[in-house]
Amino acid sequence: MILFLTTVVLIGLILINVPIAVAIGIVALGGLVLTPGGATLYDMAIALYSGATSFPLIAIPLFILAGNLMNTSGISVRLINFVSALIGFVRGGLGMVNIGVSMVFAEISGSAVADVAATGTVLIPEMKKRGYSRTLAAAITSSSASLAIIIPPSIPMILYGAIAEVSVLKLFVAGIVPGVLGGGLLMLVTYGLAIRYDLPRAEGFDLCHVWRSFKEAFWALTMPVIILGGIFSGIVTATEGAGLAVLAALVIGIFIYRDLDVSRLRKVMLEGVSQTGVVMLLVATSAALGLFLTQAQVPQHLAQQITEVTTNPLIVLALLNLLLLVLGMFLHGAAAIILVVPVVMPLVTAVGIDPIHFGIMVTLNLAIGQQTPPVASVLITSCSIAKSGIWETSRANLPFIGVLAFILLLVTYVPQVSLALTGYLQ
Amino acid sequence: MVATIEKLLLWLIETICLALLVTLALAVIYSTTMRYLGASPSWYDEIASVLLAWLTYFGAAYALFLRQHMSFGGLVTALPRQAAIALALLSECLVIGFFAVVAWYGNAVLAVAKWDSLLSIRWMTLDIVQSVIPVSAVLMIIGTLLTMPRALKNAAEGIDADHAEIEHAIAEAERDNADAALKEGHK
Repeated sequence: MILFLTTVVLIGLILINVPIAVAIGIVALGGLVLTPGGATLYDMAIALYSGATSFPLIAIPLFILAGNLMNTSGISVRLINFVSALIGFVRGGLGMVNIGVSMVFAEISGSAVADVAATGTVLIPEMKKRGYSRTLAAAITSSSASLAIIIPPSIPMILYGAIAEVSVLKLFVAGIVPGVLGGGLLMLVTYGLAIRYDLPRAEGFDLCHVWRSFKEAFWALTMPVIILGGIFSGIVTATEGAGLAVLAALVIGIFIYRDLDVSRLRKVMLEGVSQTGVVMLLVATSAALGLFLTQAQVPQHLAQQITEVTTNPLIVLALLNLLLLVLGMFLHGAAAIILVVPVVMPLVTAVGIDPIHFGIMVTLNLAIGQQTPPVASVLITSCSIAKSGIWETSRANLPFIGVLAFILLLVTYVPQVSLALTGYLQ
Repeated sequence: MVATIEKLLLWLIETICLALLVTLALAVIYSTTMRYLGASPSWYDEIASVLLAWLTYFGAAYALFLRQHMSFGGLVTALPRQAAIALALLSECLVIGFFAVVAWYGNAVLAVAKWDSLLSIRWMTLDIVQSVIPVSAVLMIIGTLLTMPRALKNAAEGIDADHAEIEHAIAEAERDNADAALKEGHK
């Protein structure tokens, strides 16, 4: 009953356009005042502070800053040129370039909208020029950008790791196989559509051109090597990797590509500050909500009620997928993670689901959520760039959403797909 | 007068946020370097967490001045003008009310927090550290009041903040691409 009322009030507040972070705070405040228990509004004030001090979350502002620096320092254009020289000779190559670049680039910064804008404004007009329909160009850009949510580094994974208290490194590693598999399947679908619609090759294969574009993109390519190589090899932690990413992006942007000047740097940093404030206020108010929900024992009651009906992990996973898919249609990714994960974690643990496995499921659901209106910021951004209608683009997007759904089912029911590589970390 | 106050406050918050972000980045890079030199700084975990909390709240205040917090404006903007304005006003009042409570209780707990201090910097008592809650809450109330006329006007005109953000991001990216192309041309 408490969970039902909490959900209704929260949805009501969000529908009247109260910022989601504040809506969560208001529900927490009301809950603490109205339900009997030890916690008071003094505790809420303390929770609002301590909720923003979780050490793993320090990686968030730094990855956001590094991502924004990459967005503005010409790194995206160089990556596009290199990937285009490498795989552009295949039929439908520009679509594949789009997918390849998104996999490297997207979801690093805190704003999926800014990431899609950075690559989409270069690739979508070019795709339209080469005969891609505007809906197909928008659909490829949108779905590949969303898949990138499970390819490290990923802000949603850091948020999940902090809330579920699991290793961010393990989450990053667990995302690799599903991410690469999903990218490969998206490329396969694009190839099939390219044959069907007789789409052209982006450019002929020329080894000299590949070499030239590689030299141009060399420093841009060192970014993922520095970030992921450093983190996966255990040389640095995720937070330290984020710090190094900032340093590398600064050095590349200022001294090598020389695309960053003081005014642009200031603008990029302020964008990062705002994105950090948006995500982290959600985290902080959700700590207050957690205080209320724990006092009312909501997560424990939910786990108990569901496990009384079934303890079959397959059924519980299906229910959780359904819940996350519906929520993903109406909530932004970070908000959905922050709201759902603390409530369902006791249930996840009770039926013996690995929290790392569940983390990849959560992020994949959010990837699909970014493609499904009404709240589908990545899809809407792609549509705005391509100047295509949301519903027509959604139709063109169906095969790509099908790929994301297939990967979700694969990850859900074959845990080894996400967990196999994490075994090598011990 | 109101515009000048808003500009001044925004400049102040921007400056604080930039200082916090740079300090946090430097602290992480310094600590990583020192760890490899075998002399990890003992203050790192605690100070970095405090910096994150401060960046969270001043960053949130900055985002509120710019009206960039995540929200769902689809329903309000689809309503008739009068209903949209009424709901937008209700939403603004709820935001102000929430931050007023946070400011009040955030300030009240400082009386207890002053008897404790950081472990790594003993002179820095926790009331200084946790003062970010009431200070930022007051800033967010002021930010809401200063930007309320624009929010109500947008609600009346059916402008969705999400769409405005998307248009802004695309325009920014197109400008960056044009700059990059111009530079390539010069080379």
